[in-house]
Amino acid sequence: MKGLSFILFILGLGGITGELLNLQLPTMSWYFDTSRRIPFFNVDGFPLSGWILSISSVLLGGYLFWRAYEKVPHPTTIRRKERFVGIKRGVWAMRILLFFIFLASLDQVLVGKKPLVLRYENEFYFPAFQTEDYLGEKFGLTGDKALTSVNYRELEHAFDAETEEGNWMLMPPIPYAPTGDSLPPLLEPLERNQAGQALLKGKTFSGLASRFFDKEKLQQHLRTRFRNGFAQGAAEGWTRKGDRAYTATYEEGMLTKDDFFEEGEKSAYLEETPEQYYKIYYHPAPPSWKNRNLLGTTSEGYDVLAYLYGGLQVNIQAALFYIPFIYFIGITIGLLMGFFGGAFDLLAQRIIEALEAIPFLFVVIIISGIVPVELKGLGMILAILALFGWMGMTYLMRTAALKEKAKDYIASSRVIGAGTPRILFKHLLPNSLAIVVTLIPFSVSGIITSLTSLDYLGFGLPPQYASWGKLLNDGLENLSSPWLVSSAFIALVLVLILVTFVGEAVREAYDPKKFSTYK
Amino acid sequence: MTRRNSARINKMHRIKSILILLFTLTVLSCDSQKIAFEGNETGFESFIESYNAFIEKWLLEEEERLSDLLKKAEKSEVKQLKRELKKTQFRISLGDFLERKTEGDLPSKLKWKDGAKEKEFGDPAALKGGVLRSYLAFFPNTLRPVGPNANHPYRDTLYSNVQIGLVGIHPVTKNYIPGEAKRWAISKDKRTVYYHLDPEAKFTNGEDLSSENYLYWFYVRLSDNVSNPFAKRGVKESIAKVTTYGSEYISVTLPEQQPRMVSSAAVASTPIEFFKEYGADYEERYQWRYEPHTGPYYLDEKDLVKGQSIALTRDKDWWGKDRKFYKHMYNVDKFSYRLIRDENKAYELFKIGQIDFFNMNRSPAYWYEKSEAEPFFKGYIEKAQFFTEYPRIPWGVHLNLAIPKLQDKNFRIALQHSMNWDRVINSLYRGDYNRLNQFCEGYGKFTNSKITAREYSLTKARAYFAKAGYDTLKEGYLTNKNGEVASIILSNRNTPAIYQKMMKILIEDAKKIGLKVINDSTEITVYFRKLSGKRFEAGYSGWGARPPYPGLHQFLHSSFALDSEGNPKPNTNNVFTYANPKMDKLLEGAKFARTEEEVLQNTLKAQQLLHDEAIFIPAFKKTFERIAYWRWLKWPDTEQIQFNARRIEQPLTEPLGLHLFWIDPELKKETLDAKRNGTTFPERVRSI
Repeated sequence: MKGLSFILFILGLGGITGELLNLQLPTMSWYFDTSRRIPFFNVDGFPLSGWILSISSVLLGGYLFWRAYEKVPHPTTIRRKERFVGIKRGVWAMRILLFFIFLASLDQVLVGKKPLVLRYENEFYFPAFQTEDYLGEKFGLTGDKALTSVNYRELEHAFDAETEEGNWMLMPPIPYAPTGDSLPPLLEPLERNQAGQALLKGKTFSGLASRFFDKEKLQQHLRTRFRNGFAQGAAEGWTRKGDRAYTATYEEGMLTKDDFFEEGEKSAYLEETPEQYYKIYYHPAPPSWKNRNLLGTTSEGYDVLAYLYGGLQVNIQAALFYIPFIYFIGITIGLLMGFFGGAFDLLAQRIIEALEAIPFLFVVIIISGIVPVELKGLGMILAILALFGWMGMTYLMRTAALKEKAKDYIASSRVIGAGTPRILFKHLLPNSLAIVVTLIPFSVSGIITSLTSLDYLGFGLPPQYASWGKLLNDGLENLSSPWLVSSAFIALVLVLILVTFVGEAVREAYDPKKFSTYK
Repeated sequence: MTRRNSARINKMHRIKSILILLFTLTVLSCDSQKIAFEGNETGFESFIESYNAFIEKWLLEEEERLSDLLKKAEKSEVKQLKRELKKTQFRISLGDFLERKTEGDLPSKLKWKDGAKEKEFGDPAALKGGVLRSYLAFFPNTLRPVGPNANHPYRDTLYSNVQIGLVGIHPVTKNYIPGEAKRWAISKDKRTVYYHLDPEAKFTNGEDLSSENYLYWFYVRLSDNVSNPFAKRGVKESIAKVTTYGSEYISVTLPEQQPRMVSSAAVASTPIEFFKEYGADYEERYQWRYEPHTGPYYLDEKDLVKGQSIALTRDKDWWGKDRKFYKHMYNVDKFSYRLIRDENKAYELFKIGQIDFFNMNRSPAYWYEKSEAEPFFKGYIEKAQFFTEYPRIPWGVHLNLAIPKLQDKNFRIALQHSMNWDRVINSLYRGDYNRLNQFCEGYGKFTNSKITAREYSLTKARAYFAKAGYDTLKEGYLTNKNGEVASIILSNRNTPAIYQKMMKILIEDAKKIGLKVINDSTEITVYFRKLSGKRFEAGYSGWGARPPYPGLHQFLHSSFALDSEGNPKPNTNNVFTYANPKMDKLLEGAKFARTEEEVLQNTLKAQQLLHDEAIFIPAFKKTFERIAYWRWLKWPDTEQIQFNARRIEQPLTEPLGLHLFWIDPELKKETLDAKRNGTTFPERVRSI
């Protein structure tokens, strides 16, 4: 409790500081970012909900912190905690999960396309932590690049190539943003051995290779098919304008037929670019240490590791919002159903039945069709999921409340003269909560799988969110690129297993019997 | 949108297709209500009477309406209205819409043509026989060619590609060749086309073809027994009169002279015997009956396994088998299609030889990575890429002028300079595609070749944005003095997957300029409704187009832009909501042209105006088709046609639609033996 309240306090305070000083602080700026991004949450660009959330976060954090010191925990709580700590597997899973959450909250410190520190002409800059977007001219770029936002990875290469010392930058360990940062296709130069065979990384090359007018724009001049290092089969050529200009046929490296059908001399055309062929790795490209794509790239040209990280962040954010929300509604309604009974109980039961009968997927499809694009996003999906997610625990709470309210202590407190709110909050709620608490970890794994499967089916988050479901889908469509499906699968299974371990430990800790046997 | 393209099946679940069907149904039923013809007829003869009366009544109403309009008309409209009125009066003067006359009534001095001068295009080396195995990505819900659910992607496979019309079109010269009619003639006033039917022509059910079959078509297709809104509207407006002269001649009159009249007047025929149970329950009763036609393929009842497979068999005694243009066509004995929902599975089956050919146009990955496989290396499967002259589907971004900020031309030009299509072409399509220069490419001399697309350029885009008021850079985006960010919502469909990759490239590069592009990618039906309902800002798609002339009228004419209250008119193809009297004049000039010269002059100017207005951002064009096939599939190699005709009207069903290929049984045996023994052939990739 102390830890949680402390985190809330820091989050709110950090958010406000960042907003006032125009800084982009990891995770802490999140209140304000969301508020700006979603139309409902801001008033003409003023991040109203950001302010409300961060101020309430500071106040709530402070209040909880103060209370945690004031109040002595209940002996049952202490016993449950001790039992939980006794279960090694659960505790370790919990620690690893918390570590993941910590990593996820580091945000652009760990994963991002902007450098943490940059030194240029004896001045220090901190692009990752500043909301201001520097233009290229600031760092001596020319041409079109001077007028637009800086591509820091390119700038880093430029710094490395410079002879003058003094300009340097420190990129995050994973120097790619999870989304919106697609890489150009990667080029790998071919070498020649003495027999004239083309080699790629020391092995004879089979596949397509190209010569370029402009490597950056990927403007091809000639493209030739190689088999066992020799040109084989059809080759094609284009002009600088991109029109087809040349065809040729090779047999075992020997030219058998060629044809040039544009103006000018054929020999001059063929010499327009140097005799250097490159293999192009279109995305998805395999893992490459040299390009710092440790797990390869997705078919959209994103770094897989960065994308996984982005997906983890989304999952954590989703769980942090979804769980409290549905539990609040579910527990309230369930408790009231059990406590009051009668007409309210009947009505609520029918509503729940009606909601349960609605085919969830249809609703998602229809809503994703009508909602305007500005509103689409994590909030939208969570709202739909929450609409259908709260019914599960109502019946459990209802049973618990029915059972508890018939007990003597409720009757006696009523005799003493306690009012309904006091009975509800002081007696009924704490005593029936145990049943529901054990469900929480399983709801976490539920929301992660829901998000993943919706994204897999294509009805989930819009493309600016990284998502494991989309990665999984991408992987299954490109089975020949095993790094996609395996990383998505491992990440998903790992997190789900950890959450389940924690869940089992919590369930065990809350079990009223010391030893239980399963039949 | 080519319907075939749009309905390209992807592996998304069935729920989606159910939704699609629901939407199509609602659209169709709305339409049919609007133009229903209520004859309450009981049979063929009474249909003719009531339909004639229906057309007459409509024409008289039209005449009255047009004369009223003419009285109030502004000067600029007078010419067009007068022409419409003249057309209507001419139609009224013709008398009955469907009429029977005797052979003696034929005009005497007709100049008959029979296409005999055209060169043969089939390959004499072609062998008859064999079974071509292919697949369907989903199973049609009906075999009827019209009515509910009939507009599925395989209707062409089952009907259009194996049918023969009144006249055929030579695939190379695009001149007319005989079909059901052995010769044809155009009347002196250039409004009527006469056809002399081939006396030997038969339907696949054995019924002889006569002129009555053409009148029967009107009964079967236009009566209230069937919902067929597009044909019902089309016939009413574009045909003036159909007359039979005895059993061997028919004539079709058009409201006005037109270029390429012989094919536009070619009405279709239906068998009479087959429709003897035709009635109000047609749509149910004929749900699973394959309609006979005069082409060479029929459906044997035992070859229809609902939900599994379907096969078409060649009629070995087909009446046209020795005709000059058809003797080397239609070589395969049987087309066998089985249901394989998943494209990846179909491709795997293709690679082990259970399917004979595979369309490699779907994504560059098929042509490059996915075909780096053993059967290709060993030469069992060959790949061919052939370059085309036509079509050039105009892929690009359509800007909706109903959106206030898009009414600023500078803003539109700035958008044109902000989309990096070259990067899309080079990094996504591997440099195989070319930049599209304008909306109407691929029409030969009817394309204005002076127009070049505006290139991606930071300086130019910024300059135009500045003119439109967006001149300060704030947080990476250009903003105007009211603090509004330069932004555009780019709507598109979420399949195939490559579109999303394209959007990401466009968004990233637009951001470099300072333009915020918001990706609005939705399920295909939702997207089309947005587009045709004009509830979008910018929409990415491509339209199917038919040669020989660019058809800009439906996309740009003001009558499709706004309704009488000034709101965008839904369900028209003028997705630009573009209205400009100057453009209208050019479009009408091209659409209602009496000669090719008129078409040419007007369409070139219209194209230039379209470019100047900058409402369409051209993306790219594809100049080739790709196919992979087992090596026993042979393709024509004659003076006229190498592999396939260069001008293709239906890129997805051709090259098969031309039916010029054949299966070589010896090669098939050799290949299968080689596959068993592990012997290999040279790897073969053809580029034609």
